[in-house]
Amino acid sequence: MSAGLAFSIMFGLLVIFIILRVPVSFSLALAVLPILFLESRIPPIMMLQRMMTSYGSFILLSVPFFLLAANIMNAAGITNRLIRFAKSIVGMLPGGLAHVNVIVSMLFAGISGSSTADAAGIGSILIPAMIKEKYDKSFTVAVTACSSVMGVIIPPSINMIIWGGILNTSVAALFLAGLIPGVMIGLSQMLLVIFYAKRRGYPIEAKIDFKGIGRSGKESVLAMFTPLIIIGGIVGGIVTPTEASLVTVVYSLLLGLVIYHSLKLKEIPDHLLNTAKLASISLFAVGTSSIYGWVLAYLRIPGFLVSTLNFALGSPTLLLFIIVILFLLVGTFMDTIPAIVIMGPLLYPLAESAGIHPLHFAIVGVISLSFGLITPPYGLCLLIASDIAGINSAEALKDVGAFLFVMIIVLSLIVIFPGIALWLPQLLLPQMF
Amino acid sequence: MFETFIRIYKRILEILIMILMTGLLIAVTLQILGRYVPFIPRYIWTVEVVNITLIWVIFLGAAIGVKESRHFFVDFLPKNVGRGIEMTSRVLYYTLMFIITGVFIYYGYRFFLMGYVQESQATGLNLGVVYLSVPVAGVSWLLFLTSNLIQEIRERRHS
Repeated sequence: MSAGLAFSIMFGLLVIFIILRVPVSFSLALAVLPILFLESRIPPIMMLQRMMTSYGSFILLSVPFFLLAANIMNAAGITNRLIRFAKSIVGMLPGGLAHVNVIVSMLFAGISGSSTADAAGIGSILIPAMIKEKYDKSFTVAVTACSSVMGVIIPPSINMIIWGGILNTSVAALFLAGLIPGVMIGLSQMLLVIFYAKRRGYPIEAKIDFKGIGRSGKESVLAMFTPLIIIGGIVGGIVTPTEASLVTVVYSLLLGLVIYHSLKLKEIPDHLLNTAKLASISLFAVGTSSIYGWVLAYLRIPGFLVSTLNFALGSPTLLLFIIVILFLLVGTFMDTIPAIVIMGPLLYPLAESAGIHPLHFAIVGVISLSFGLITPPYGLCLLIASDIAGINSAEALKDVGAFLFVMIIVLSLIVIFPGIALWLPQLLLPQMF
Repeated sequence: MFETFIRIYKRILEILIMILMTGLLIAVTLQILGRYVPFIPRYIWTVEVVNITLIWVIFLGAAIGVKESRHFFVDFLPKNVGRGIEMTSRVLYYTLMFIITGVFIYYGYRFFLMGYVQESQATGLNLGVVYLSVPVAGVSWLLFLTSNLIQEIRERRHS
């Protein structure tokens, strides 16, 4: 069978099945079936073998653990402590509460690896508070949803783990590469908030109060210690990313059960179950994607795509921009994890043959897909934030657009200057380069 | 009768998942401690137990995900496409889901038989224990899909 024909069958069927609302993970397995029957050299049992092999990757274990840690921290009221601290350091800026929203998202992103946990946890507290202080609902929704995107860009990040698991990119290096871009996105959002606050007269939240900084800082210092444990542990070679995820779980249990007493032991089984449900549907998609990716590679489809898209390969930057646009489009209607699972293996050979560094490709991919969390029709963080504020997500679109605009500028800078992402991992993990 | 069975079956899977998750946490903790604390032996079995447990959590969780319709899907079709198209798409949806379920049950069972005569390298554990998760997931999908289908037909009759 020619690579072109095989690709048309596999991709065409995938799209049809997805339109029929068959879950993405099942669609991937279904789309491979006809090939298995046409191509007698691939026995179906081998596909199950492939799936098992992909689960042998130790790093995937950190997906349930990082999710569990975020759930426990949310349930233990850590978010409230972080908000009090953020109020004390940026509350004096015009549009104080909006800045608090961005800063808390940044701090929480360093603890949790998922943006939806961020949007739900922070939104449920800050959105009502902002509306009470006469912030426009659409702006409130926009700032909550857009800042929660940092959850998957600032380490730890479930999306980076999935990316690393599928494409064999070092998760430790990915975590480091996401740090500066994530902070840049947060700062660009705060600049935009100042602009909004000046134009619409949003209030200052609190006066400068150094005692307050000290007090709230002491209250939340243990929680803010988490990113240091994760990053420090991984970079220092003390723990692997997987082990770091377990340490985070143990640490969050310690904070919730022993130190803050804000969590009850009998609540734990429910957190275990909810975490396992979410983690397993993500990892099941990783498994069927590895089947799909393996068949693609077996039929030499990546090579076929590379030769078809030859024109863009001359300029890595141009190709990366094309990939960004593709990811942004896919992100509008698809969740980030299935999008990584489908698009990653297809585009990786292209990026590789154009000479784009795998880490650079990964960071640009993770960031552009994460923007899909705030773009309709399927932008999960936007939907969550609109739901909490009680408005239709369409009403927030104009303000979301303004945030998206500055975020895309930052993303473009990262595309053009790979050093923004690569500098930190090159500095701290030189053996990877 | 069938509904009650499904409810109990799902609860059993949920309890199993909670136990497996606890096991996962303990096994990985032992693994790390084994490296850093001198008096805790470096158990080899932890690596294998962790892997097997994770695989079972994924397949059991994927089964519950079918019952709760939580697997990631994309809503392309507009809300009011007309009854004919809506019905056709639902029939095709269930047909496709039952096909892939059948594939997982049939080949999963053969996969299990294949694993049943193999032993793992590190601890000599029967690989059937691992591969059994695939046909178990398949049968669970069959039960949950049937239950969802019955529910959907009932709801459509009402409206």
